[in-house]
Amino acid sequence: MKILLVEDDLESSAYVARGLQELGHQVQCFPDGQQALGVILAGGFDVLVLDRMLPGLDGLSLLRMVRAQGCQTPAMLLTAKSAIEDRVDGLEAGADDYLIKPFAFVELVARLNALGRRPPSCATVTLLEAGGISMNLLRREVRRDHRVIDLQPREFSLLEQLLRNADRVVTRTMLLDRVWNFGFDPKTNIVETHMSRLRTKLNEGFSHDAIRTVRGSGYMIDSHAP
Amino acid sequence: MPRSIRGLSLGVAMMSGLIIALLALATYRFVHEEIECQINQRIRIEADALLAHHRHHGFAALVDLVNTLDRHATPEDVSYLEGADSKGRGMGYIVTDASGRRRAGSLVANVPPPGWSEFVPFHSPDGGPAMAQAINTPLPGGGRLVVAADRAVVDQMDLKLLALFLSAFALILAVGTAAVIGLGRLVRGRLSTIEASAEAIMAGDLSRRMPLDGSAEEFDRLAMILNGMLDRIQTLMNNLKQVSGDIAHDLRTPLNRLRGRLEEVERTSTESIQQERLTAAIREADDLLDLFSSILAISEIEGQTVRSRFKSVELHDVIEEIAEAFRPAFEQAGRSLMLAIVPMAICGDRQLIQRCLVNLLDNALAHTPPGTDVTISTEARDGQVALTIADNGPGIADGDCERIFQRFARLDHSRSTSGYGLGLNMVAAIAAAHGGNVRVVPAAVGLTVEILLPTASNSTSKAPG
Repeated sequence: MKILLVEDDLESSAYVARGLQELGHQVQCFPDGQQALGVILAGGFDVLVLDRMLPGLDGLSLLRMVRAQGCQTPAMLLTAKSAIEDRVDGLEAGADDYLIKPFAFVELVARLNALGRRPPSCATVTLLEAGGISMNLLRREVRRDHRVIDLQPREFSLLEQLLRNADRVVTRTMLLDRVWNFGFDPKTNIVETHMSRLRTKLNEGFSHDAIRTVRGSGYMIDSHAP
Repeated sequence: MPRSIRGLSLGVAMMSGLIIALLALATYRFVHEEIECQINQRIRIEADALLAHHRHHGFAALVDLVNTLDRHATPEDVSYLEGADSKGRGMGYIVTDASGRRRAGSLVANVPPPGWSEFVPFHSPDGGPAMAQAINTPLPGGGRLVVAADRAVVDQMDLKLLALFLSAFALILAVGTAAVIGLGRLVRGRLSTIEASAEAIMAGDLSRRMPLDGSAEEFDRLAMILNGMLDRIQTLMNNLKQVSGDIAHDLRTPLNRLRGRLEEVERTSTESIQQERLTAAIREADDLLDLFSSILAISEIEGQTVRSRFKSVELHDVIEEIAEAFRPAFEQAGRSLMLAIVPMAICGDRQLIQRCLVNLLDNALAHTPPGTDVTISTEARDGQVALTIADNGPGIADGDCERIFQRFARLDHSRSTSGYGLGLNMVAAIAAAHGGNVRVVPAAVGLTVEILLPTASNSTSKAPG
């Protein structure tokens, strides 16, 4: 992916860029919004990563200007503030995702992957399918190899997130945010316990685990599982 | 309105002086006129009596009577003029015949023109010049009668009044000046003690307070209010010192652990072990970052700006959602979570309420043994919502009931578990931001935490306490 990173702290921008480059991405860094604006509008990037607090033109205003010019490149906001305040205005300004600093690098990678390869019309999809599991969003029905599996609403949402991001890691915080709408991380292992229930239901009668745990980063469903 | 005591006092003094002067003028005019009227009245009665005598007994009898009157005049005769002294005659007469020749009367003056005259110069019996009021009336059958009264009494009264008012004016001036000086001294004195205390406080002596004199009057009340403010500031300052100390102390431990882990990594040559130790080091760093986020979140909540985003939140909805999220974790840990809630709306921030409940449930899970039942209940109480989280675990000592809500408060037996003692502090901060409060309710078994929150209709009008 071609990633544009706007971050005024050169040290963090350097290590994020290095990490992404090691994963095979192309990264271009800018220390302030003014310089980045023209480059973004010229196009050619798969994902934008914008720090919210920037000298001069801040990330939020930059994003608003970019969106006003009709540029639809997926964008992620990085914010150092606590989650209480600015989730909403970030999304309103046109961010597709946001990440609260400090973040784990795997978290950033997982979210960037999800953003960069997001199908253009994901909202209109009614049938999700991966690794032998199919989910009908209209009838709210889940099958694994044609066997119907009865899920609680929250388990259904969990599985939906995994299926939408098949072959990509979905992190705990992404799940907390999208399934439970928690902008913070409880001490209790809520995600793990719900995931273990979902697994039990999905795997009953099957020898292969439908959900793969990616150690230290999250969960994922392989689309070509046996 | 004058801004200084001096200006105000000067203004009041000037007003008092003006009022006294106006009063003096009015009194003078009234008394002066009244005495003149009385003199005229007396002249009229005297003249009428003399004219009646002339009508009945003739001109010669009138001349005799006037001569008699002049001879026998005593101060008592003129008693209508209180204060007319013996050296002056009350009344004087002139009787002329038809040819204009003076026939009787000892008034040493020219015959005044006919009718009333206010100022007729004459010589009093002791020879001094004086003024009289007089009437000159014609006598039937020729001749004229002049009846005059000395005006000295008017002048005397005028002088007395002037003296009276001048002394009143002087007295008021003296009292006013003394009051101004005294008031100024009093105010300056009290203000300078307040100034001195304020300067001492600015110089760093936060324990200084404004002196009180126990009178409970204006200055004492002001001093008491200032002292209340200073108490609050000192509490906050102590709190701040305490918190910075706590932060420094609580950060040193995880930082030391992190450093230890990294040193271990440095010493390790086996790659798999190194990897494991690095993961542990990252976990330590994450803990530290969590600690910072919590501290920041608490100050943000305490900063009250969160209130601007408050709207109506269905409390039962949030509770059900959180309970649903936690139930599998509770069951897996061998504890049960029960609800006894009623539909109720509060005015607040959904995410803060979520966080408050999550912290309480995190706590219940961390500090109770397997087999514990945890119950979340709500009920309406005096226009408020009482939200209770009760467990039947081991509970805490009575002495710790207040302390668990303080920042970095960790009870001794929980030192071994993870966390920095910020969870319940955040609960207290969230309750306060919503205009409510949190406390431990005494219970026979376990720990019961009760949060009182104003309901949606109440909280809009109430400021947070």
